[in-house]
Amino acid sequence: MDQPLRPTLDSYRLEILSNALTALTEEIQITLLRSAYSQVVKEAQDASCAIFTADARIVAQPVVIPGHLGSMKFMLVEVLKEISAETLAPGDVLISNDPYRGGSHLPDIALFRPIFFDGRHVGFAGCIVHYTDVGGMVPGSNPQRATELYQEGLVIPPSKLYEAGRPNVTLQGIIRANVRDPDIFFGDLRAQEAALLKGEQRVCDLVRRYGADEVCQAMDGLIAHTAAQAKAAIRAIPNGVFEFVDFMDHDGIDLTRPIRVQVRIEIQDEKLKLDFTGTEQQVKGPLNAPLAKTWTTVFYCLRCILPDDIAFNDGLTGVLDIYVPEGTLLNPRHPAPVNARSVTVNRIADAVLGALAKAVPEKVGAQVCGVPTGVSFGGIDPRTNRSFVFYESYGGGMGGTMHGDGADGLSTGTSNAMNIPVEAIEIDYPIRIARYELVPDSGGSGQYRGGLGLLREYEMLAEDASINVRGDRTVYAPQGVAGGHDGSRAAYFLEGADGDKRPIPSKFSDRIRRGQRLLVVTAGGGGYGDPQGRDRTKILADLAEGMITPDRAREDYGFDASSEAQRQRKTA
Amino acid sequence: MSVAETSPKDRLRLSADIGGTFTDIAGFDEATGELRLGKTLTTPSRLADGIQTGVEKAGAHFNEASLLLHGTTVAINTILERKGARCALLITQGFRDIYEIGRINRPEAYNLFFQKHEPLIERALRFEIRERMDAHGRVLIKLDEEQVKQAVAAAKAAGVQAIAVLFLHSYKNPQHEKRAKQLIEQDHPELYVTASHELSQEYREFERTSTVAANAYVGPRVKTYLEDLRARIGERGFGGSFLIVQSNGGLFDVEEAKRSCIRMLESGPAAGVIGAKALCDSIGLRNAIAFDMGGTTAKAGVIHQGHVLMTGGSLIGGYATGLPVQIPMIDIQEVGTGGGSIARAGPAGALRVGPESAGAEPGPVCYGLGGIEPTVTDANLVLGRLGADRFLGGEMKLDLEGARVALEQKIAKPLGLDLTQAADGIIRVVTTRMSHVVRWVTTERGLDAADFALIAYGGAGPLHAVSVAREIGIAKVLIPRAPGHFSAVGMLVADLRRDFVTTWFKPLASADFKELLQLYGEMERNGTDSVRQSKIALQGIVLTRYADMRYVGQEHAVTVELPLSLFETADREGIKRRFDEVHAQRYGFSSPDEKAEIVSLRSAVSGIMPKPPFERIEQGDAKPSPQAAVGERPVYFKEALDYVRTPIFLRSALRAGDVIAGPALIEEHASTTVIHPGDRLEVDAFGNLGIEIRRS
Repeated sequence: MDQPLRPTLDSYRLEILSNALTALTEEIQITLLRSAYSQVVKEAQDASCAIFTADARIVAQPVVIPGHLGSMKFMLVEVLKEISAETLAPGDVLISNDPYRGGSHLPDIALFRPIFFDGRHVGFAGCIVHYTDVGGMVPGSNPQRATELYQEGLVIPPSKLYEAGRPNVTLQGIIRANVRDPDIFFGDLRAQEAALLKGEQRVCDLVRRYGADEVCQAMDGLIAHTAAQAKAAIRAIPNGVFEFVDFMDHDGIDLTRPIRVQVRIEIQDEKLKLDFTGTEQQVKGPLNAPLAKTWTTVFYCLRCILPDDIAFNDGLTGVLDIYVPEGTLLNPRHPAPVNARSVTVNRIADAVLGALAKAVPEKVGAQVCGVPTGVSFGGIDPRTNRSFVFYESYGGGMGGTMHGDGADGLSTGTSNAMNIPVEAIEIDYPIRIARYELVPDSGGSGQYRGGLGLLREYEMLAEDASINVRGDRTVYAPQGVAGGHDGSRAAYFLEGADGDKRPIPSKFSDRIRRGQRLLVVTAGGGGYGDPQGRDRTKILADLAEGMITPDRAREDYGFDASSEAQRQRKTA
Repeated sequence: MSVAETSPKDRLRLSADIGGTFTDIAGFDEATGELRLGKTLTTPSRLADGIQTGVEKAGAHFNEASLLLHGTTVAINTILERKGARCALLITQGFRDIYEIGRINRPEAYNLFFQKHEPLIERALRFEIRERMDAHGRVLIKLDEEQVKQAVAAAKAAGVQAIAVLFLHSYKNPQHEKRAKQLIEQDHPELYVTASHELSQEYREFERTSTVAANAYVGPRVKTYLEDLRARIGERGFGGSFLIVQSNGGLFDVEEAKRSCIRMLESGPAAGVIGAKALCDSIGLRNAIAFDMGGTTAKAGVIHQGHVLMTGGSLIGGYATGLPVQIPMIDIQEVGTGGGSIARAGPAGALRVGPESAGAEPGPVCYGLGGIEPTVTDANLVLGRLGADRFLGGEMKLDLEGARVALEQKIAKPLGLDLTQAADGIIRVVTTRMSHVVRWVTTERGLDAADFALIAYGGAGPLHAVSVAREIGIAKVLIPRAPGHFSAVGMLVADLRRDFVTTWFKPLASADFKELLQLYGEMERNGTDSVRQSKIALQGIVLTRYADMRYVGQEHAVTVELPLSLFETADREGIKRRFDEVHAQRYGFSSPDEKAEIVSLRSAVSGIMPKPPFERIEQGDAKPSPQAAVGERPVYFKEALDYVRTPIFLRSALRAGDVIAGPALIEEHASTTVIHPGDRLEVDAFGNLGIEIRRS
């Protein structure tokens, strides 16, 4: 040891060890992302790693997908209720995907590995991966028509996947018999196991160098540091009560009934108290979100208003009180189906950020496009005569804020997926992309306008395939703020080979035939501030670049492009 | 002309590395075997003058030189400073926004004000063209040549100097891109025209668009720069070959550089890694990390089993809003810590260092040029690792008192530390941050940093190398000669090189070897023709084949080097075994029973240049000569928890075989090497400082 041990770590040792813990978590995460098999992991990076203390508090979790924030915490706590920490041994690997025991939905499978050094249990490495298929009534385990959890796939309760290094062959056999593509499934599982092993090695390297006491103290120190930063930031916000109500189009089954999400946030000194009373009762279809999802979504919203340099860990938990009445959309009773909860999660984020925009308008602007629009096709590829399952999700406009225009065409909210390159889609699938564009005029007008939505047009080249669209915001547009206008709504169309084009609802499952086209138009972001206050040069630039049309400039901004051009010519 | 000739007229091989602050010149005299060095401030408006001054400082003349090798930041700075040409993009109909849309993820996931990458070509100048290929390269819609002409006329009217062309699937069939380029050049020979397939034959339309747009954007300026520079050095008597260093560490002819400017983005840093590789070759070292620390950043590249590790592309301008460039280059990772990095006491008792840098102006507090924020250099001075009277050979006196006051007030007091703890804390924080980047380049590939030697250079590298090595568990540090000029020296030992990639999706089990060999053959023919064009007498041409491979179902492919012998026998199992090995090394597991597929074929063609041998230095005995010992001063070492009387040695007076036990400081003109207590230095036959790190 370089220095005599002190009761608390001094500031640079904390900085050093916190850097080291964060870096090692990032390292295992990259290993996992690069070696995983699932389509969703491959392109959408829908996977996450974390290091935990021995008592299941998160120490570090680098996050690509904000929706993963803290997600494993609840699973690990529940796993340890079933498998007591005292019974753990080196070489154990724990597994679970149960949405009603801290999980999210069945395809999200978490693995945990206790980390031992010289017989001392110093923490856990954990990782979660979105699997392509975990069985159930449809390929991809995302049945829009599910009415019970059992239809969504295989439930893996908290179990030991390895016991002191020995594989649990019974469990593996059950899994193999229940998933559609066991090779890909076990490829992902191996990637998860390898990432955890690496996590254990790296933490042990650190312990070897700094000692177990000091590493454990640094873990506590990191959590305490984040808690202190979070408390200070919340204290800086004036106390008050802020409410927001938002809606989803429908649950895909009753197309006439909007689904309500409501939140009341009370800021009291260094606490944020969130009460979701007033939110819709649990629904029949799969829009229900298990309780842990409300927590992870609130973590995301909180993180957005905290200082940039705050590290994410368990320290954030202390500033939050969350109440969600049982039996509602956000705290459903077993065995309600949950596979489409990602739409719901984004509406939670919209509602919470909507309320926070009233409390900290300098930190939160207008609403974002509001849903990661998921598109999937499945069928037989005529080029190879093999079956294919295609899935991608993509975004729309960000909201305008006090600081500038919302960004055009981005993954928004708790989703952060990359799009799949057009060339990659056409190489791998019997699908042609005819257009991929920004949608002019889709951003809500304002002093700072909302970002533009996206348009993607797919042409099916296979004879006959399944089509599944999971979107939203076709009825309720992303809202503007402080006088800014709403963003444009999303719209989805099917177009026949004969050119006949018809709108389809935002949750849609059907068949698509060769030559038919799916046209997906996502929502633009809301605008910020009165459009009359917009800088003229920005309007001119938007016109020159085709981001807005002359009509929009005239109607919303009172800006006549032709007379402006004339005026400029005269003064020039 | 042959460089092997040593007539007095052309016996000199010169290299010029123009960086943001300094222009470094290295000259190798083939007649005497002597290495000459010159360093001068970069003259941004007249870069040729800087080279001239540097050459004079090195005691050389252009008319003696047969070869000028050049690395420059002109291309990357043109992009970072947004000073490139007004350009237009011709792109497949329906896709003009892909450049703006990008990959749609938010690198700053919690930033609700996030702004995306900013395209180098504005939307109004991106013209859609009716044409379409499918993924097999079959024409679905014929190229509308009339529309190409109209678009170019409109672009001309808007005042563009350059035009980029990107059509979907051109990596598979470049016919339409070629034809469009031909049409534009016919009508407008004054325009700089570049098509995506000339730079990248890999799928991924956004990355290829960004690459070709960047080439168009920098093209006119870089072309003018190179032509101007060649004319200027010609006027000064240079009549030899003028070659440019690419980001892949290889040289290429200036004519080719003018067409593919984007290949020279990272030429300076790449040359440093090539220098490190040559150093490894000269002393029989197989595994090393090249560690380059300057004023604002630290960079690390890797030499593994005698090969420099490469990557398929990078982001220009940072992770969050960077623009991708999809061309093969040396994999160099960077972190924003250098000698000028500013230290700050953060909220809640944290100590942060960088990425803000005081740069050369105002510079660290101790430069006395108006800097008021304490930096890494100030901490080094306070701890005695730098001497106030000895910086740059005493040319520049440092203000120790100023550094102490700044550290006391801005760091020590707010954090409740004493001055020494504060300065030591700064060093330790930068040490960890740099350790992560050094570790990262190896662990990311499943390698263990502890198995590598650390070759440290750049002005600040030798000051910090030993601490970084100890942090990671590296046992051996090498400080090459002239660490402050190392990139320029590295250029002298570079080879001509061309890299090619062709996207080719095929299951390994059923891949047609005839087609495979045809594709490699085509790349190798192109490469061989290209390196022969340079008119340099080569010692040989070396072909290397790689394939990007993955298990069926995976997305990310790993690049696997494939010995030529595997192809002679069409050894599919052998190729699969190589892939399994590389996968296991990189990710900790492999799946020998699972099928693999090929994603892309890569080929590297190197034209081997005659190289200057590393110069041997005078042989001494274990004890340094009395002339080498020039004094001592107290230096703080954390191992001792105190200041320790530390002898100072003059590097230029050290001889081969000299051994020095730490603690010690080795001073030379542009750099100081710190040896910690318990470590041991031995000078090798070539004058490299070899430091053995005591296991702590």
